[in-house]
Amino acid sequence: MAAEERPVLPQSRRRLYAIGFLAAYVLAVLPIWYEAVRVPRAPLPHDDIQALEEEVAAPLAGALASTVTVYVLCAGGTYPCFKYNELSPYAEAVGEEILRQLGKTSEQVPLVVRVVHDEKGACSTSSWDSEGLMARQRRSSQRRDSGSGKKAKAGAKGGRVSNSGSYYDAAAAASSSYVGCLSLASSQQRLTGVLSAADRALDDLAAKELGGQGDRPGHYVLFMLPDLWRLGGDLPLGAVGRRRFGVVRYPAGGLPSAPAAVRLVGLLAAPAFASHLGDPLDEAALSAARAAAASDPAVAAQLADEALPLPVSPAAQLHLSFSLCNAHPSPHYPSHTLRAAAQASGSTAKQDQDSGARPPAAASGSFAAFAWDFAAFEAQFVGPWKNALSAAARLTVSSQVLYFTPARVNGSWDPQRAAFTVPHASLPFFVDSSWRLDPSRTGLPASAAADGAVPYDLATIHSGDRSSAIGEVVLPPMPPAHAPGRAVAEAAAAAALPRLLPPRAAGSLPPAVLHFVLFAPPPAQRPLLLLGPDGEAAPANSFHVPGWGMLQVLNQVPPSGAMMANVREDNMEEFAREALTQLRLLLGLAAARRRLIQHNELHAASSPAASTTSKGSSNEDAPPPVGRIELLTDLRSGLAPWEADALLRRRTGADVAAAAATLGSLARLLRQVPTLALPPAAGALVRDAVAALRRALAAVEASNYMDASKAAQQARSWAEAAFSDPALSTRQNVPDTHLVGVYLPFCLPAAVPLLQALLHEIRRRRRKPTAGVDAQGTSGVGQTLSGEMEASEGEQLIHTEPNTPVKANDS
Amino acid sequence: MARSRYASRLGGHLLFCLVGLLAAQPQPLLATGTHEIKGAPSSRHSNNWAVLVSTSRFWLNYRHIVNTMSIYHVVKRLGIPDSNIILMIPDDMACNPRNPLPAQLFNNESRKLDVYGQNVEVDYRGYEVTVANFLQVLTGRHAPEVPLSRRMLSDNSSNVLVYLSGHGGDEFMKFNDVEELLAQDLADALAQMSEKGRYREMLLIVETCQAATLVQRVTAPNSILVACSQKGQQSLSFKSDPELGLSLIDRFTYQTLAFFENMDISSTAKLSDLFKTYSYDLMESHFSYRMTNTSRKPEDVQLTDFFGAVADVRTGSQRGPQDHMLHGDQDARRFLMTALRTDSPDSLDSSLLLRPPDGQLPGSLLVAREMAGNSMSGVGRSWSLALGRWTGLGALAAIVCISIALIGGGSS
Repeated sequence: MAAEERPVLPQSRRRLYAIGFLAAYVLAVLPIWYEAVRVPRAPLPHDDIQALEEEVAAPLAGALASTVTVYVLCAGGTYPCFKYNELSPYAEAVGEEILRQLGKTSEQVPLVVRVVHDEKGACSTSSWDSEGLMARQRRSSQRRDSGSGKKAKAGAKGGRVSNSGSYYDAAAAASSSYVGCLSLASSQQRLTGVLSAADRALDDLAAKELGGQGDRPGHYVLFMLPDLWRLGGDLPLGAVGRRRFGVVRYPAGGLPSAPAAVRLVGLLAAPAFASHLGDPLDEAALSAARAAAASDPAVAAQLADEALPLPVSPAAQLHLSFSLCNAHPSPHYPSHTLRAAAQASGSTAKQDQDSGARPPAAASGSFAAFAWDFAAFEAQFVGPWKNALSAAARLTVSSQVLYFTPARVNGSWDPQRAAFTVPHASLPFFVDSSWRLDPSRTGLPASAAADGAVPYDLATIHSGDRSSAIGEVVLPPMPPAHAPGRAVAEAAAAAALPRLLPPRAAGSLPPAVLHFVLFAPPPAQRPLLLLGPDGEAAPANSFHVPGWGMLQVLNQVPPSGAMMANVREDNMEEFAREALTQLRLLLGLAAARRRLIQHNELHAASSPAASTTSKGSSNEDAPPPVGRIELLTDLRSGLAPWEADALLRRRTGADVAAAAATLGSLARLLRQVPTLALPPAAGALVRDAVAALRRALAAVEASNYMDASKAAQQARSWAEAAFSDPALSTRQNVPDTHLVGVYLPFCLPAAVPLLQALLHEIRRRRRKPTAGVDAQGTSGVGQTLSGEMEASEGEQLIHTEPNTPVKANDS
Repeated sequence: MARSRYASRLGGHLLFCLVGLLAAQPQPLLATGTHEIKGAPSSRHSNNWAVLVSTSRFWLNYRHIVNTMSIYHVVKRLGIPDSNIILMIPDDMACNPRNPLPAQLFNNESRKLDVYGQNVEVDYRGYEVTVANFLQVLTGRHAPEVPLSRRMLSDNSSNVLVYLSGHGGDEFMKFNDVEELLAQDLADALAQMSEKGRYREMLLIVETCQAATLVQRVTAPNSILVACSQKGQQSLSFKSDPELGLSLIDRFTYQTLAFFENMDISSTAKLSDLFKTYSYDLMESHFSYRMTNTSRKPEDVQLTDFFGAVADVRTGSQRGPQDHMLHGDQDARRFLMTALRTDSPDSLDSSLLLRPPDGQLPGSLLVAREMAGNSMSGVGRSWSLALGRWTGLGALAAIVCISIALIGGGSS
């Protein structure tokens, strides 16, 4: 019927189509427009974040507890020992003494003091928790069963003391997480062996006896041994071991609870085992510290050191950039330098003629450029630091040798010292900003391994004059496969390469950088001395700048006439030692160590009878005198595990606080700035950070150092990565009118025919009597619904054809 | 010959600046998030940062580059190292072929003061000077490949100086003639900075027409906002050089530079002293300032806190007797060899070990893949998003086509 010409749709169907398309258009365009103009925001767990913020704001939320186990060894025989009921008061006394030495109250320190009394045939323990720790436990238990109405038990004032006597129950004690009885007094031979061991031997012996349970982060064992040989006279002697041990040797005639012995325990444990460096100080403590600082510059310096922010990036990365700077490895001098040198020497020439204290003329002949064997240096010195601190921060290392890096300040000849000196006031201007110290130009581990799959140690950067690899590690030659030593060598290689993976978010968070510069002065300025603020030479001929790093002067004279020379071994050792000292300072660890070291000076300075005034102790009556403290240093790394633990405590607390603060900031910011986008990836990071923060808080409560620090680091780096995701700020603020204006040109042309059709329909409807239209429409629909076939539709068309004058007009 | 004076970033970090001995402050990390502590800045800043931006290209905008270079000259002379200066310069005026005085930029026709100097480190140049880059520098949101030297690594003990010079209008500022920085964007960026603790105090100086409107939306605490002109006022140029045939500098910056040329790092001049030198007679516009921390006054703000820096150098080594080689104790040498042999391998976080100590590598790859898992899933998500968008657009296009065809067909 309508075969040759195009079928004309019935009017009702056309109308239906038109309206349908209009509706489809609106339905399709509006979501697309909305999708294009809306700010994409992943859902955030706002309630969780707020709860976490409150939780972290509570006191000691991120503070890891330290457990100090005082292991009292009873010599038996005629020597006095503790009775069973004397242990709890003793634990309490020790705890309070440690708190006194820390200068803090029981609420401010999470501390557990345990006493293990090892007597021949009997072993008993007692423990004391600080008030702050118990308050935290109460809080968490309240939180856990809030609503169940279970009342947390209130502790006694000043801490809870629990007693447990166990006779030959070493197995039960060992099964718990705490240090149990070692039965050191079980035989006379064993006892003598322990008591006669020197500090270092005792340290090794304790490590052997305790096996794995003693040497864990946060668990410290302090041996109380009777001093049978009266090495310290009437005074107790102390030592802090290379691991997590200490020893106090008290006069054998007295009890370990003698005031002097208890005080020495406090003096040892407070800085070494229980310190919380970089703690936020409350107002009272702050004002007290200010007062102390005003009177004593040493205290002021210590406070300033502790208050400095750690040079560790939010992703727990620290990059050590070692540079050997040859100021002028050439016999030729630019004219202005010569003139300055001539002036300097000319002015001093007259008065120094007789003394012969002239700048050494031989210097001009030895102008060689220095090189160093950094790979060996790193393997010997820097590698162990990386390992020792690996739990607290991921250390990466790069090195370079620079040539022609003149200092901005020239030394002046000092005949008294027979050296060129740089006054302290000029030191801020010593380093020239044109030295290419900045490792970021040649790539950093984070950017080298941005995808998170390449370990730092494998990421090698070759660029420009920085030819060395990132974290280059030297390995001994590998024996061929199936050769006898192969397995051992592989194990050694695996241990030497820690394969530190960057965290997931490391790409967007730049690592912190510390510079370690070994500066070889120009030959005409050799030897060069840096002066301290008091005009004396700097102790190690070096200076450091918080947050920047350190510089040491290398005054080695190379062989005359040579072009290249290696830095001598002893100079490299000196540099390593100084670098470690300054690294410790820059990481805020120096204060605790300095306190232990300075104890001996104070002890030596004051007569035994006089009080050895220590910071923090403020008794009216003079504190009992104590003997010397030895400090053993870990030979491999120079950083003792207890120092790394202190850093771990500080970093964990700071990470937990920073993660909560960053999450809270992000949540607030999204409320404040309505145009800020939060892409789904960032939303996932936030959720991960929240979960990690919960884990960290739980691990802190369980005083699980490793898990806590790992989770805290993750929480912080994920939170920071979410906050600093570039996708957040891709969308700038756009006025609302723009949102319509930009999309109107796109939507309007498409809408024109539809609107036209709509208009047409409306016009037609107006022109026609409404009833007729309705009848037409209903009849048509009814026929279609009644199940008629295509043919009937054709009939329908024919039927309706005469009734379409409007359509004819329109076309 | 025009030498290229855009020295590549000579990366030396000269040192952050003075820390008061008593910088003992409440833990900064705690202070960032909480609103209560935000009232007063800490007693002393520990480092200085400067973000100096010119937003105009082309030779005719010579003066805007000179404005920014003048402030660069000031802050560098007063000791802020290049590593702490983010300099954004959209065009190279000093080495422009039309510059008859190559490699020099002068603030007036006497040509006494070359504000270009000897050593310039430009961090963002040419078309890199965009609103997005500027806001990213402020908020610290960078793509991973952006090097450290182009980031502002400030913290909540940093004093930040931001200087903007260019063409602007009511609540906007043109960047490179192609886009605009809106007042709301600037305010949002500053709000984010303060929320994240990216500055301790901020001094924001805007040298543009109707500058006060650009900063009027800023509410971020502890910021000092200085604008050279009010709404409806122009920021006028100054000192034209007949040989260059151009205006050399803008009046507000000319006065600022003149003030700082008589100052050194030991100066105790206050912000109010600088304000006193601004006169309507010379500038023909009213400068204004606003301090969002109302307890501070211009009389309290020392200029060198923002325009200068001195490194805090310490020479103390603080070694104990134990720090000598073999650490001082007498029997150490005897123990050295045994210790090296018996020391337990330093305790490593086992999850950080890509390769376990037994040296098996397949497992390590697994770990690596696990660790890298997030980026993979992110890619998948973005793909699905894009797919969704494009199908929507396609469907719309199809609907439009069909409807046009049908209506056209129906009506013919």
